[in-house]
Amino acid sequence: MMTLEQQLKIQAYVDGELSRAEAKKVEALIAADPEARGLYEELKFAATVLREHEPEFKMPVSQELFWNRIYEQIKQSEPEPIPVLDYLKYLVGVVFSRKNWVPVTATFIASVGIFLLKDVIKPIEDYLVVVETPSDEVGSYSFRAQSEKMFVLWIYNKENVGGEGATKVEPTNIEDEILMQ
Amino acid sequence: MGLDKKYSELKDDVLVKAAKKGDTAAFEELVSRHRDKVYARLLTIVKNEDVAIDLAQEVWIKTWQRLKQFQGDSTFATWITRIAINIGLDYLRKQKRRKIESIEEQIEESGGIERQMPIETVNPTQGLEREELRARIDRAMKQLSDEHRTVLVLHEFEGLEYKEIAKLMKCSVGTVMSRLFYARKRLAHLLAGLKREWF
Repeated sequence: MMTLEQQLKIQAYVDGELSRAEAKKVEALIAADPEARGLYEELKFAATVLREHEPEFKMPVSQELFWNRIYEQIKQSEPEPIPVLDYLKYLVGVVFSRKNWVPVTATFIASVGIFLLKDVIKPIEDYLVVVETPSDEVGSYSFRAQSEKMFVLWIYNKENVGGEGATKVEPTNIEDEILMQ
Repeated sequence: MGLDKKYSELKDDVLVKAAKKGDTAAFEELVSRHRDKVYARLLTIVKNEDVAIDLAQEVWIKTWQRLKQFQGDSTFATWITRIAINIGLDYLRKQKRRKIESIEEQIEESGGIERQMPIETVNPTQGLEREELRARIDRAMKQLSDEHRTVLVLHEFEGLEYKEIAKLMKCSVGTVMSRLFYARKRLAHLLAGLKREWF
């Protein structure tokens, strides 16, 4: 009577899962033992009959119907398009399209030029004139140039505009302005 | 190159490449080519036509969703068959969990319900047509338990080794060997008449 281990070895031999040394032992067993031989033939038969006669099945649903079902599911499972991303994609497409290369390049060059010249061109706010009116009698003009760190304050008598009573205070620096306020 | 209207002339890998880019017409051609194979594999595992059709649909939807993961290490047919096998096995596991008593345990412990099933007898003097032989094998396979049938399908039809089957069925190699052994014994018993003609 063979053990289960021996029986499984015979099966592994049928399936080619044994090393050469183990396979030789099983061959010897099959040759010597009629029971082992019978089991070998039974297992071999079961394996071979299946491999050579695999049942064939055709799907009993038409390709059109089957595909329609799949297609619907595929469409439902796809994520909703994101409008912002779509718009960005559209913008990128427009910017980099071949027909727009002239205006895009010109815009780019202009942007670079402005960036490089920004320190050369003095900011407009540096020249803003602030008119102050401390009282009904006295008026003033102030002038500030941030880039020069300069602040000019002109105080005058309103009753004597342009006359001899006008007082002129200049120049002072930005720290003085703070103190004066 | 115009993929346009000649999908049927293109190889699988070209169609897969196009489908990866969202070409559903290319994917439809792949479905058309391999749907019978997928269905057949599922049917041999689950034994029920309606279930096999539903699962086949699931297989193709998953395939579409995972298409980008396919690197071409195996053929597309092999890859999709593995997906089908996994989905079929998952279905069996879920079904088994629903059962109050595990029929399989009874089979493994007592020698089995399958022994009580009718044996396929064949008149040795009458030659068997190939289709008839296949039909007999199919009937015998249907009488096996889920585990025994599946292990035979994976080993004999898919040509997988013990360790590959163990991985797919989530069990040990020893269990695979044991199941395969009893499955073959049952099958040989069920096809006893055929065996006499065979040898």
